[in-house]
Amino acid sequence: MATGVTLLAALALNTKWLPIWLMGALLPLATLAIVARWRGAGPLPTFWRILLLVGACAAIAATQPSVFGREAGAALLASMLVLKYLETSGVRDARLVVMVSNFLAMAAFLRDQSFEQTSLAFALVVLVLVALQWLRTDRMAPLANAAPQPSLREWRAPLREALLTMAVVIPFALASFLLFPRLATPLWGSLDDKPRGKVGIDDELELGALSGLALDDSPAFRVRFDNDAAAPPPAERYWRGLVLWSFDGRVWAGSRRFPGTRAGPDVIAEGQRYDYEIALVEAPRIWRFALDAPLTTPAGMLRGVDLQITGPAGPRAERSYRATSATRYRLNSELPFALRRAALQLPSGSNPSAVRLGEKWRMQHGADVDAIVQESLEMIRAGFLYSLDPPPLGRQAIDEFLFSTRIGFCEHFASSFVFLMRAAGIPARIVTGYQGGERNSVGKYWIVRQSDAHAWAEIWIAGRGWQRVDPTAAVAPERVLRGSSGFGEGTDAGWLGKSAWWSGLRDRADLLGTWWQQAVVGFDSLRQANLLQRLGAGEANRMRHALLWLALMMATLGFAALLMSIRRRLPASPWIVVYREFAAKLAGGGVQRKSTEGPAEFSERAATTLPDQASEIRRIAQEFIALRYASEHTVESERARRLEILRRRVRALKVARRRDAIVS
Amino acid sequence: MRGRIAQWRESGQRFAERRLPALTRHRQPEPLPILLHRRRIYVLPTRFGLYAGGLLLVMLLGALNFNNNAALLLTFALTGVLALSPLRAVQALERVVLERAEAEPVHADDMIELRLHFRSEIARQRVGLEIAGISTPVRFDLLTAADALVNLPAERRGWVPLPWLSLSSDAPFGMFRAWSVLRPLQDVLVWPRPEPTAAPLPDRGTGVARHVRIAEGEDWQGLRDYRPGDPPRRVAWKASARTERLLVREPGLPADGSLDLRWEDAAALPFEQRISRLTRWVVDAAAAGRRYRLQLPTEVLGPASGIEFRNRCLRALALL
Repeated sequence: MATGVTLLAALALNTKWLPIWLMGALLPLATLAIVARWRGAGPLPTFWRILLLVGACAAIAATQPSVFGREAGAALLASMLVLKYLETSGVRDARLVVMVSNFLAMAAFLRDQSFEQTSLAFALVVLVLVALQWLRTDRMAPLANAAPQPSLREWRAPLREALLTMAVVIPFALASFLLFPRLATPLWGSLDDKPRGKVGIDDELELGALSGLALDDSPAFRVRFDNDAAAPPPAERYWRGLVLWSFDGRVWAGSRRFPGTRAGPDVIAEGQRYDYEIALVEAPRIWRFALDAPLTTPAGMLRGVDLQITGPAGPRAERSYRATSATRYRLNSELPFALRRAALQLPSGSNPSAVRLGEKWRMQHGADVDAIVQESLEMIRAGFLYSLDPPPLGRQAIDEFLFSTRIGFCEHFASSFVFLMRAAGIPARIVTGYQGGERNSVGKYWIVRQSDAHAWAEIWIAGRGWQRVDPTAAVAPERVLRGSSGFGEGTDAGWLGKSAWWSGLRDRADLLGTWWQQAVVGFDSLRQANLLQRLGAGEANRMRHALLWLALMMATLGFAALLMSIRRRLPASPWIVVYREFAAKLAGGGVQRKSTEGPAEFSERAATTLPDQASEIRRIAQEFIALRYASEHTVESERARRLEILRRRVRALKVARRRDAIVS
Repeated sequence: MRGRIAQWRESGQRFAERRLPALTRHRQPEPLPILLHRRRIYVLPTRFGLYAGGLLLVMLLGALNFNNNAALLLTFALTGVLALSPLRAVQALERVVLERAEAEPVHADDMIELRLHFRSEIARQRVGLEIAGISTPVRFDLLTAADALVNLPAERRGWVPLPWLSLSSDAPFGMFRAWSVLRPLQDVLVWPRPEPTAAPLPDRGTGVARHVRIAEGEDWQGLRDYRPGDPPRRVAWKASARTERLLVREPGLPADGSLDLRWEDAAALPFEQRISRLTRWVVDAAAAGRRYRLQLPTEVLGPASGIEFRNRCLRALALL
């Protein structure tokens, strides 16, 4: 029962990642098994076990891309554990299932290390500890004299023990976390590097791709400006990510022909500069985001001629980095031939109506770039609608959007605009990233969410360089001014989003999550070395380091043990109480009991000192000795009865108080 | 070289005896009550504890490899649980007192039902304790005080010392087991085994002459030497005059069908079987509610009847 519940909880921790069909199979199976166990059923017959085992393996192998991947591993582990539970017959198996449930919780951490997930895993540990205690009593039940059946009513003491243990163990875990020597480089490669499932912006842009993100409220990254008071105004909060050059009629893609350099291109700032730190939420892929436009290259990264920043990718890559930007800038006054060619590339034969429109504008306005841009933005402003849910488009996507559906999301506007510019002979490219950001007033930082994903255009104008043009602003200016949350029903719906306490609560929760992300999830061997140096442990010396850890662990556990061993002394046995009372009375009469004296000697001495009470003293002493030492065959109730008589007798004993007490 | 090693061993032993009394002294029987102090409690991981340790090692390697900090925290928390377990297991036994050990006497070859009365000196959680060192381990719960019933085979008659017992606990999570060796300095009385095939009771007319004939026509139940305190009217004056010793008539004997169970009556048998036969007679006579007298080479008991007297006879037989 306890085992099954633990197992279910461990499965539940993995709900978000395990394939739905597997959860749909495992959860009812485990529940059924728990109910069956509760009603006294034995383990599943071998035939069924083998059938289920083969079925699970085949299904996982068939549906997972790689048997050695993370998902497949977690799926396999979960299935094996449930099957093991189906066949558990003894306490030993049950204990193993309970213990390996922790491993399942750890598998979940490979996908999500958030504060919530970690808290849930620790709750699971409490459950595990309770279950282990129940399993102990389970084992004891058949043979015990007074069988302690584990029942639901008996959860208090085990829970208390489990919580007490956790209270001791959590400081231990934190100290170990900080001090345990870490690996600077992994022993073996990561199982699969490309995070799948939830992704933010991709390195390709297909019409309709970003609108999928519009409903995703999860944070993409957080930004802390060195000078929080002087953050850029809403209309300038463009977070530059990827620059897309080539278009095949359907998909925009980045160009590999302009690799980044450490120095990067010169950007001339024309206005305020912003220094800030960005902390990504997910493990980074090769590109990074920065406030448009980054003036310098963040440490350890590269910056392309198109200002695209690239850096190390994967779960072990550093998630936070510093950057400096200026929102008003001048870039590339000259345009080299290769860049110009890439910025004018159009797939032949695609979207002919749009090409004709662009060519018409070129005829009309010639080299007057501003006029062409004005004309196109006018067109968009007049007859287009901005929507989170645009209708799907066919093969000639730009033509269909421009001349028939006229309803689109930011990437529709951006790509159509760039397409038209290129057709009109103006070098243009698409930039994807985020636009907007929400300030966390508690933590004084900014959150940029996936729903802020955005695409805009840049055109090159002779003498002025690359200029940002956001056609979405023409059709839906509130999208740019108020961010994604100001638009549509996708984000915090209804009154909740508007109430102050809710946003305050949300700010605090996000602050906690951020702190967790930076202080806990981001901790690594480098930061550990820094910490130790600051603590005065000197240069990172692995041996010394390990010894320090060991010493601290001993100290923590020793202290805990000390605390735990402070326990209330139980009152002495009833006969001792009676005897003490007796001794106290005699002491009042002037006969002090010596510590070396047994009851016989003591009472004899008392009897001779106090002749008036001698017979009573002797009787009491005899009875006491009989009760204490010579009662081999007395049953407990008889013993209690005699003790009660003795107690009355001692109470009734009258000893005259003597002033000249004989103290020996 | 060999001499050097012997010297080292000797000094090592001396050191152990001086500094580690738990290792040496507690092998000897000790008087009750026995207080379990932490210096005499040993602790080792259980098989499950070893499995758990192995699992944690795998988790640690995985977490370190991926620098997965949440997983590291989880692993360290569980490691803490494992590291705390031996301490908790020792605490489960610490300050437990074996107060009394009681057993009703039984016949040899029966099971001694030993009642061990444990008490706790400190407030504690309900923890299960186990007693091993005997054929079937016994488990019981101790909160403040508890009796544990242990069955021991009674192998021979007489005073039998209590065997070596081990009190253990794997509280709270079953990862470590702490135990302590108990050897109470207390003996249990074991009566002799009664002869399996019942010999008929040496009743009147069946056995040899039972009565001491003092004079013709006078059938005395039995005479014994005068002991101070005997009432004067019971003195057999005539017999005394003849033997020149002061003899006293035993009160309430014969004529009412009481038995005389004599050591000599089983003279044909070897020593232990003689004891067995007498034991049988005593048991049977007591079961039949008869009065009887038991004559042993060392003493004469009775005549009397009742449970108390039977126990006295069996005890005398056990200690023969």
